[in-house]
Order: sequence, then C-alpha cells, then structure tokens
Amino acid sequence: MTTTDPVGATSATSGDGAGRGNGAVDVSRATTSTGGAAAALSVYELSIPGRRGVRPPPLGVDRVDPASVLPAGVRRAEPAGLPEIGELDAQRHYTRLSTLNFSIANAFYPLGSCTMKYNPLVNERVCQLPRLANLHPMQTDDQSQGMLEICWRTAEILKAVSGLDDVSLHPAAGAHGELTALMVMRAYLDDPGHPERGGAARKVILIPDSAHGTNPASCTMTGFTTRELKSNASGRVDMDSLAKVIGDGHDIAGLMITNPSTLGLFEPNIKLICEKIHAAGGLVYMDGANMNAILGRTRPGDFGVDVMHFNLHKTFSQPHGGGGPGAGPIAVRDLLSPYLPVPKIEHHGDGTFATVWSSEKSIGRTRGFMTNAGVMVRSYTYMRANGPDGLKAIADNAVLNANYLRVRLKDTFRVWIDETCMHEFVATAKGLPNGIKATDIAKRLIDYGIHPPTIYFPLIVPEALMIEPTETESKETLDRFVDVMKAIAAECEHDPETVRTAPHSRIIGRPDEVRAVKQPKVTL
Amino acid sequence: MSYVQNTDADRAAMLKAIGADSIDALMAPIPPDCRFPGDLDVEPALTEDELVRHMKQLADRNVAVDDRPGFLGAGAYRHFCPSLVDSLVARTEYWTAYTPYQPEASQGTLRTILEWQTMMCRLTGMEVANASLYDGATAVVEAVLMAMRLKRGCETVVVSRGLHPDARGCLTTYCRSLGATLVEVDLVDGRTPAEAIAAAAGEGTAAVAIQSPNFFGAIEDVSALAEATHAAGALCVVATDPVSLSLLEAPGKLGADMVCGEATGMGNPPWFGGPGVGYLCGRMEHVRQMPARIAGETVDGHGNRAVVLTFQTREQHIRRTKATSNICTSQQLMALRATIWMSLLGKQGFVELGEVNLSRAHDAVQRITALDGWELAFPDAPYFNEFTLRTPLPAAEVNRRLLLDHDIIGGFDVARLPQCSGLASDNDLADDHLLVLAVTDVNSKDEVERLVAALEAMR
Amino acid sequence: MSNPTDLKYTASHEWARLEGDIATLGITAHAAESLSDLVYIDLPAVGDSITAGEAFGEIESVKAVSDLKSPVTGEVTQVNSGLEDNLSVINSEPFGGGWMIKVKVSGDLPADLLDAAAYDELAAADAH
Repeated sequence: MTTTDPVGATSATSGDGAGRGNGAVDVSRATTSTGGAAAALSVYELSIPGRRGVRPPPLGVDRVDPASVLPAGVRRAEPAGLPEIGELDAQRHYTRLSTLNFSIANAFYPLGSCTMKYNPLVNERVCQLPRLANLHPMQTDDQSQGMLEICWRTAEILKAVSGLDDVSLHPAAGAHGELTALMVMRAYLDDPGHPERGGAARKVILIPDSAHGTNPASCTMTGFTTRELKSNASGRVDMDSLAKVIGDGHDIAGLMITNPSTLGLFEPNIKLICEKIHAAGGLVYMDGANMNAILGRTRPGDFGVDVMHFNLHKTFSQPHGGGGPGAGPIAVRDLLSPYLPVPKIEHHGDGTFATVWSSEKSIGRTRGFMTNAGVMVRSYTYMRANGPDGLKAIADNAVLNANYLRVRLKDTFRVWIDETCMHEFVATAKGLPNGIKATDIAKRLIDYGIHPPTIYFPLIVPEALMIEPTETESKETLDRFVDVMKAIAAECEHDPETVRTAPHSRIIGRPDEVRAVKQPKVTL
Repeated sequence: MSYVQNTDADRAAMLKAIGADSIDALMAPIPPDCRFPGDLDVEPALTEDELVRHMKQLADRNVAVDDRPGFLGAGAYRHFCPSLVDSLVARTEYWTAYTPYQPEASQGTLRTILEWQTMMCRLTGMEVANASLYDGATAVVEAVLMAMRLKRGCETVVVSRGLHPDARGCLTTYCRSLGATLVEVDLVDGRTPAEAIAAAAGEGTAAVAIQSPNFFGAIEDVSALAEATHAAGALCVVATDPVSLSLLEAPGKLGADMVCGEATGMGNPPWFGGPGVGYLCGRMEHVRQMPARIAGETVDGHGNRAVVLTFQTREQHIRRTKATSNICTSQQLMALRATIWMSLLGKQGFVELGEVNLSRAHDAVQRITALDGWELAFPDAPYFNEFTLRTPLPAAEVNRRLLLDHDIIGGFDVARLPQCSGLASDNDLADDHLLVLAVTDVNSKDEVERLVAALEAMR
Repeated sequence: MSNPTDLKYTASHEWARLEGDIATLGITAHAAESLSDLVYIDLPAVGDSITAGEAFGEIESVKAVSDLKSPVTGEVTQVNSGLEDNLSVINSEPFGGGWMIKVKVSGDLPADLLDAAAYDELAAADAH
C-alpha cells in the first residue's frame, strides 16, 4: 500500500530511517520493520559480560577492602546489575535512540498548551559555565553571589511581566507551583492573626471544566475540595454558574483559572470574576501555562489575580528535555508574600545578595535546596536576549501565528470556538468522514514529519486537536502544516484505512496499550 | 535579539489572510481595562555576544567548586562524569522533545526511560521505578504519600532525624497541608536505633522514613529498622544516595518497601541544587499507588517491541482530583544523563567507583583523625564517602579559614541544620563543632593532602 | 438496544437485580461497550457499607477511569472475585457473569432508579 506525497511527507526531517521512499510515503510493513529488529535492542541486550565502558578514576590511595569497613549486613553481596557496554557501542546506542524522537530541532511541534518554541543555544552555553554548573547548593552566600544575583534578577523580571509584588523561585515545575501556591493560599486564609479571613470554613476551590488535570490534583494534595465551574457556549466562564457555585461565599477559598484559557481564549470577564471571588473572601490563582500569549500586553496583577505560576519551560524557553527539567515559580500580591516558602533571596542596598532562611509565617520548605538554578540561568538569559520589546514581540507573533493557522485551517477542520484566539486554538476531529478520530489525525501527522497537536484536551471539546504554533515558527512552516492537514483531511475521505492505521513511517506502529497495563513489563 | 522569524512582509500577509488590520486588532479580546499600556520594566535586549559576557561576569562572582578542592556533600555529591554523557545529551532530539505522549514519535525517550527504570531497580533491589521526580527531598515526600495511600486511614509518619534536613522540612510542610502527624526519632551515636522506631511507630503509622547513609554519613542498619517498621504494621521508606549502592546492599533486599532519593550525582553537575533528579522505586504490588510517569514495554500491531507510558489512569490528566499525585513531568534530561552515566561505568566500573569513594574517604579520615584534636563524631558508625568530624574549633571557623587561607571549600557546618530544614526544632541538633565532609572520586589524593595540611595548620 | 426488564437502572449505567433484600449490582452492556478495553476494577470488601448514589468502586480502561455508583444502600455480602482476572466477562456478559457485588439492602430504594424502558431511551440518546 502506498500513497502519494502531495506535501512532502517523505522529506520529514525526523525519521526512523525507515519508511522513506522516492517521492512516496511507503506505508508497507516490510519497510516499517526494516532495521527495526536491530534498532530495537536495549542497552542490556547489547551488554557483553566483561566488557568495559569508561574507566573510573584510579584509587589514588591504598585500597580499602569493603569487607573490612562495611558490616556483612549492609555490604552488597552481588554487584548491581548494570549493563556492560563499550564506549563506542554506547555512543551508537544512545545516538540511535535519539533518532527515534521527534523534537523541536527536527520537526514542527505544535503541541497545544506546551509552547514548544525554539530553544536558543546560547542558553545552553551559559548554563554550562563551570562557575554556574559547579556551584554546590550548600555553599554559603558569600561564595554564591553571582548565582543569587541571577536568580534575583529572574524574579524581578517575573514581577515586571506579572504585575505582582513578590516571587518564589522554589517550584520545580508548573504543577509544583500550583501546589506551593495552594499551600500559600491555605496559610493566608488560616492565619491565626486574621480570624476575619474565615480560614477554617474555606475549603472549596472553584475550577473551570476546561482546566488542566494538575489543577484538581493539586487541590486534593493540599486538602482542598474542588467545585466545577461550567463553561458557557463560547468557552468562557459562565457568570450565572459562577454566582451559583460561589453561593453565599463562606466556603470559598478561591478560584484556579487559566487565562488565556485552555481553549486559547482570553477571559473577557476576568476582572469581574476576580472581583466576585474577592467579594466572597476568596483568592484568585492563575495557571500561567499560557503566559506566552500576553507578555507585555496585559499583566495578571493588573486584572485581579492574587497568585500565579509561570512555566519557565514554556514561556521562557527552557528546553523540555523529554519531560523535564522545568520550573514553576510563583508570583504573588504582597498580601501573600509573608507565606511564601523559604529560603528566599534578598537584595541588599550595597549590591549584595543574601539567603533568607526563615520567616515567621512562611509555609516552610517545599523542595530540596533553593531553586532549579540551572533553569533560572537559561530563562534569565532568554529574557535578557529579548528585552522589553522582544518579550512583547513574543506574544504578538504567537497570537499572529495562531490566528493565521486558525483561519487557514477552519474550512477543513472545525474550530470549536471560532473567534480571534490568543496563542492557540482547539479544533475538533468530530464529524470527520469514515469515523476518523483525533488520534488518527495525530498519528497520520507523524508520517508527514510533524509532531501531533495535543489531543483529547481540553476535555470539554470532543475529539480535541489543540494547536499551538508558537512565535518562532515561520510562515512557510505554518503553510506546510496547513497543506498537510488538508491532505490528511482528503485521505480521511478517500483512503481512511491509511489514516486509521497510521503511522506507517516509524519504527513502531500503534502500540498495544492494554497489554502494557495487563501484562506490565516495567524493567528490561 | 529576537527569535521570531516573521518579517514585516510575513506579518502583513498573515494579517491579510486573517482579515485583521493589525496585531493590535488581534489583541482586541483583551478588554481595554486589562491592557498593559506601558513598557515592561526589563533591561534592554542584549546580543548573544553581550549576553555571554554578562553571564560570565555574573558567574565569576561565584566561588565555585570546580576551581578549587571542595568537600561539601550534604545531599549533593559530585562524581566523575565521562565526556560522552555531555555529547549524547546535547543531541537536540533528546533535549528539545517533550513528554512522550505519542509513543510512535518518542521511542528514543521512552526506551531510555525504560533503561533508567531497569537500572534503578537493579541498584535498589526493587521491582518498579518511575521515570523520576523533582529532586531527592520531594521524592521522599512522594514515597511517604504513596505509603499513606496504601495504608489508608493511617495518618502518622515516623521520620529518622538522620534524614536530609531538606526532606524533613518538606515532609513537615506537606504533612501540615494534609493534616498528617510527623513524629521524629532521634539519632544515638549518629544512627537511628531500631528500638526508637519500634517505640515511635504503631497503629496508625503509615510509613517510617529513614536514610542510609544518613545525613551525617553513617550507614544505618536498614534491615533492623525495616523489621521494626513492619512489626508496627507500617511501610519502610529508605532514602539513599544511589552511588552508595555500588558497595551497599540493595535496600530492597533489606526490607525496604520504597527506595528513593537524589540521583543528580550520577552524571549531573550540582547546579546550585537544581534541577535535580529524584527517583522512586517500589514493589509491583503497589504500582497503582506510585506517582508520576512509568514506562512499560508492549508490542505494536505487528508484534514489534514498543515502549509506552503505562498505568496512565493513576495520573492527573485522567484521574484529576483522585490522581496519585499532581506531578505531570519528570526530570527526564537529568535522568537520561544518569542512565548514560550508569551504562558507561557499567557493572564493574560502578563497583570500582564505589571503592574509590570508600578508599579515599577512609584514607582522609585516617589522616585527619591522626591530627591532634580532630576525631570522628560517631566512631562506631560505618560510612561510605561522607563522615562527621568533631572539630577543635567551631566548624564555621574551620570552613572560613579553609577558604580564606587555603582556597578550599570545606564541609557542611552542622550548626546550619535548622536553616536548611527550616525547623526550629532542629536547634538541638545544631552542634557548632560538627563538620560533615564528603570525599568522593573527584577529590584527588593531592586535594585530600592539601585539606589535611590545612587542618593541621589550624591549631 | 434492549436491556433486561427485570432489572433497575441508574442514569450512570449501573444495574441492580433485586431478589428479596439482596441486590446484585453490575454495569450495563452500553456502559461496558463505551469503556471498551477494561484493565482494572476496584471493588469494596464484604462487610463494607455502600450508599445509593455514591461510588462503591472504580473501573478502568487504558485511558479512562469511571466511578461505579451504587443504585442501593446497604452492606456488601459478596464480591465477584473472579472479575479481577477476567474483566472481559463484563463485556461479554454484562448482565450475567459480569456482576460485581451483592448487597443486603437497607431502607427504601432511591426514587430515581429507572426501569428498562426508561433506560433503553437514555442509552439510545447517549449513543448519538
């Protein structure tokens, strides 16, 4: 089975090395499995008893026999079962594995809500500077002035773009930022010096039905209960529903809202919503996952948000690393400042920086050491590379690119809420011919060398395809994406089987996920 | 400098296609009273060349451990790292990809996760590992929370004070947030007495958390502590530096129910404490209560081996309020460095590396304690690559003189313990004449000799 | 679609077969079909109390998890322990071998339980 290649699927920059042909996507199994068996070996299968990789440093001193200093009960009886592989074969193995990945560097990656923008190499270069990389976390302030300053400067820029008063750099990821922020909110509401805040009764966090799953999960981990807030037909907070779930307000701890929302829409009533929550005695938390859309255009602190988290790996171009590291600093209005985690960094008038280890009302510690400093270094570099105008240009071009794609695609794929969007929009695969689903579109995109959008999220859109191009993509890349999507739409009609069984160009076809749960194999 | 590729002509063409007059028009959904009218209070943009200079200037204000000998461990250990680790992890296919939700486009990342899980299980003697957690301190928290889910209704957690202060600080914060009770057990002669665990744990105890080697470097009697834990009906959480498992018995063989900790030292620089990489291993019977990503092997429709993220219904994107954790990422790049590091050292090299640590640390102790007035604080406790000294003058003063007079970064001053944990209750541990020193494979014989000479001069 | 007429149904797709004061509970063919590949079930233990309208367990497919909501209030007297190893029986015999628990019912049945005709209608509407 073969198909024509109207839009250059075979020039996919990321391939397995299989499935490439002369001007045609070769969708036959024979091609897909070519090289598959050899390529699929794990490091354990490559392992040969007695083979050595890199030699560790020499003893340098007289060998101490472990048996002479470690009691039998704690001494290891058998060496740990690590693989035995030579340096060259290890290089080939991990190089080979890397080629099985799609990444920003080799494919358009419009993964909605994840802001997969270009990751500048200068960020990587500076974070490898030995005097940054090799700074030990237990070194004292006088030895760490440069790093403390970088972290402090990062926090200052986060304050500037959020319009908020204070920042904690503790959280190691967005979800960790949510968790930390909820603890801070709890501490504020429960402050024994402020019984008027009504802490004990305030257990409920309102969460829109379009929210990311981490929001409700973070609430559970911090002892809050959640109450769902319905979206209206245009994907915005339904103001009647808001009034209803607030009720008399006595049990409302706050609202967790994503703005721009997971539908890529700016919440037109955001100021009013914040006012209503404040009037009920609650706090407004903003999930800053979508900050990329609004940098320099609007600031959460100005529209009523009390606390928010940033995803530095999204907005400020920290590479995603196949899942991490990221960082999720939180910014707060001054009323929440006393409750932020410790340690914090303080800037002294004489230009020096100091660690503040304790603070009376602080929630305490939420992570090891102080911050994901390596992430701060990269994000600070990125912020300074952009400057104030560049930061605004990020939002402007992210919104431009998203709207361009939305308008060009909407005749082929229904856009769920077809209005001017911010940095992303949600299309739907519902109603495609021959029962084709969102997942089929996603898998087929892979054959054309494009990473699929986020699918099946937000949950309120059936068969969702959440598309976020980011500001760093060129018009030509966006045009090609449109051409590919149109070609796939045509395939849905004329050759649905090819779409339904995609991808055909990778080392594997669709995996059996039931088997992965029922017959779990979680080690090699 | 901007990373935007659109030209003015591109923008004009795109606006025309959209049917908008200007980018301002596209921003119309932001209500006028929410718009930010001014310029962001951020310093002007720098070119790449200027940026590198600026960052070097800032970096040079640090007194880092790469320029001089350093003997700080205290939860962040430096080890030899093969050149190939940097080279391989620099492949953009690894570091510019994201969570492997589309297995067909992510077999590289997924297969390295499965290798990582395998290696961590082999080290710890456990059956299942997750794809990694934020850091060692939060890994301990996640292990304890997992135990609390498994022991539903048990709201007490017993913690050895030998656990890293950051982990104890985090546990305090999280337990307060969940309304759980934390009971701390004191050390005797640098170690956790099994009788104290037996006395503290009982009905209602979900977990007992210990660390070995503990914060003071002492190797705990894990099997005795696990036995006392199980006798109380609780689960045993063991935090450990995975490099120590080169020579120390796998906690899984000693009765641990969960093994966790910080794996940064395997192939990662300390980066001032982050990003780190926490790990968590457990038993297969508990897998449904494990937090975070887990990779598993399956097959595709043609029987080809395929690796996917599995047991996904545990996670927040499906289970939402009832998820095992809110975590949705892993420290994959750090875990990848650790995976390649372990592969390159290999079965034999890992043991040899352990022996270098053990030998150099014991050599250092022998030399230091031969000096007048310097002795081991806990002479009966076995240790791996870290140990606690009783110092003839305050530890802070020792560190200060080491740096000023000898350009050496000293050890961890135990008086700082309450700072690190954030716990006022730690004041009774804050002995200002205790110094925790780590001697690893990065500390050459020459460095140790410089240290000993410096200490000798300090009387 | 027709569902057995001797059963009572919930709008959340559970069924109850009442015999004396014992109710047998399961999920409907329609629910089993929409969940497709089942991988895990979590059921209460004998002796546990369950409440009408509240979850008595959970059932999972690869990428979805659903609460099992009880049509009745009472005490669990028996659990279909064979299900754990053979979840496919829920798909093949949802109203027979795929039963989940038996409950000794206390108090009145909730007023909002559906008969087969009403549930047929609901399931048919759901399928669109």
